[in-house]
Amino acid sequence: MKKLSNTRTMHIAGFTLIETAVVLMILGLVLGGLITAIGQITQNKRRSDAQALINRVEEALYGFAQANGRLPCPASDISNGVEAPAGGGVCAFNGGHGFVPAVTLGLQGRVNADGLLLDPWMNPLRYSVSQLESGGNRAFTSLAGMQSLFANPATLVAGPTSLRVCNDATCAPLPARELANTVPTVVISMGANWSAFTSADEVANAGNVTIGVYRLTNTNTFVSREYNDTNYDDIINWLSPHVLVSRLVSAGQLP
Amino acid sequence: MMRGTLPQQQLGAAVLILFLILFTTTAAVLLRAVNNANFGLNAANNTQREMVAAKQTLLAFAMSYSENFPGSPPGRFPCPDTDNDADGLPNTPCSASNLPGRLPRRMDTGSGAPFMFSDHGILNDQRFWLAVSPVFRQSSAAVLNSNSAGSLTLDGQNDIVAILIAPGDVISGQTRQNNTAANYLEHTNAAGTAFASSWAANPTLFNDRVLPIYRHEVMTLATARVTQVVRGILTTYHPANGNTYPVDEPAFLAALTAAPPPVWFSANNWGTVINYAFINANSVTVSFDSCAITYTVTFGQPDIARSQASCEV
Repeated sequence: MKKLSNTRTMHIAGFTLIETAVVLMILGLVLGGLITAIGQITQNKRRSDAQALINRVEEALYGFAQANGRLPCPASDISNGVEAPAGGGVCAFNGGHGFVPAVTLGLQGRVNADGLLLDPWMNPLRYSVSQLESGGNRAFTSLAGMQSLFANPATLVAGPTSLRVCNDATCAPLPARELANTVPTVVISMGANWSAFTSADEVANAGNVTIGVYRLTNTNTFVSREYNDTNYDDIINWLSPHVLVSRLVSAGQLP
Repeated sequence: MMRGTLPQQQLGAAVLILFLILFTTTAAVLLRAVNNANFGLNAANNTQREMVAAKQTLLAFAMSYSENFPGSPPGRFPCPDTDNDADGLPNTPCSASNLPGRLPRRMDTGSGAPFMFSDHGILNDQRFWLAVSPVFRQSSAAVLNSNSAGSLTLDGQNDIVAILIAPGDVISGQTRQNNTAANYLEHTNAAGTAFASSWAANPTLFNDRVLPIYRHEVMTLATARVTQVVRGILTTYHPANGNTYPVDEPAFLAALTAAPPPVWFSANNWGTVINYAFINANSVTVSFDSCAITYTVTFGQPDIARSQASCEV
């Protein structure tokens, strides 16, 4: 009886090497597929979260403008999320290229140690505002400038102080490459590859100078084009000057 | 006999493989479901958000029409894109019929800041559609001022000047891709005058989402633009006439004639719909027929006060 029992134990001891290999191979394939799928879903979710965050910033900018008759200046690397200077006017920090002034806009969200609003990849959102002048004032960051712009629409012209968005960094030939050239503001998430620049188009958006520990642009040309995993993953939104003015009129800030 | 059959019965590899297949299938179904749920919700939210954004851009276009197209009055809307070709631009002059066409994707202006109406739906043939009341069309020669009424209706509501429609997925009886409104819009929406936001008799045959633009929304912006022109004339008049604004409406109309105002101002009879009231030498009120806002212009003040936010009575 004892011998029989030992014999049976040996027969049910486990699987053959081939069976185990087959099972492990299938398990590997399944897990590999799942990890890839989950990674892609996570990446897509981050991009859609970043777009939603930028949309929220855009609405907050319109709301701020409707309440104050102007757009805020960007936050600097040391202003803790407050526009610099407070009260708008001439945005002296880096020629109007800085960070989303989340405190000034009353925006909630994850911020870093410098109080800068972060995108889903934990990198601060960039925010640039046009330093175009109208009637001797900043057209978009002062109430007097907005009033002058409404009274004198001809002052809305492209020039060295206005922001433009193109579909590549060379922005040539014109006008084919130019998407808009008198935009009031640009908001940018640098995407997953924010710590490196994989193309001149990404450098144009946020890579010309280093201030503190941050890379920022110091030029007025931005790039918006199709997402490409290897050389362009920025997410960029800009306001229309016409929609901004009409919303200020609807809100009673203008004329 | 037990010794001969037991090992075969307990190998278990087939069961393991079966479980793995089941696990894989379940995981795939769950992932797809989560993705689809997110996608569906996001798509609905995006459609709503982009319709509102497109409406804001259309209103901005209408308000600044006089600046971007000199000689034309504020308040006009772009013609629909009826050929759906690659340029995404309006087809001008607008069609003589009322039939809706696709919302143009963009329209260039002399100022360098093109109007980007919407790129929604270009990848899946679900661009927004647009219908515009004839008087408010870009290429119309009709007089357009605060008394101009919108000729479109939505669920029986009248005085609508333009309507945006998200066509939704293809439904029974429709064939796409083409430029026939009835293959995208349902019920009365394809006919182009009396629009509907639902179809109670055939709810399964209706998936349009509709967003109207009312006359009072346009005129809130247009009257602000016209008041700005009036203020400019009054500002010139004041120091040249003993530091006072015109003392009554006849004097005001004479000042308008003498100025003169922009071509579109006179051509669209804006002078006849303005109601002017003298308060004192430095302050007057200006209002418009069919608009509830009263603007107060004060000499030397950079802003113009107004009695309420909207023209809506």
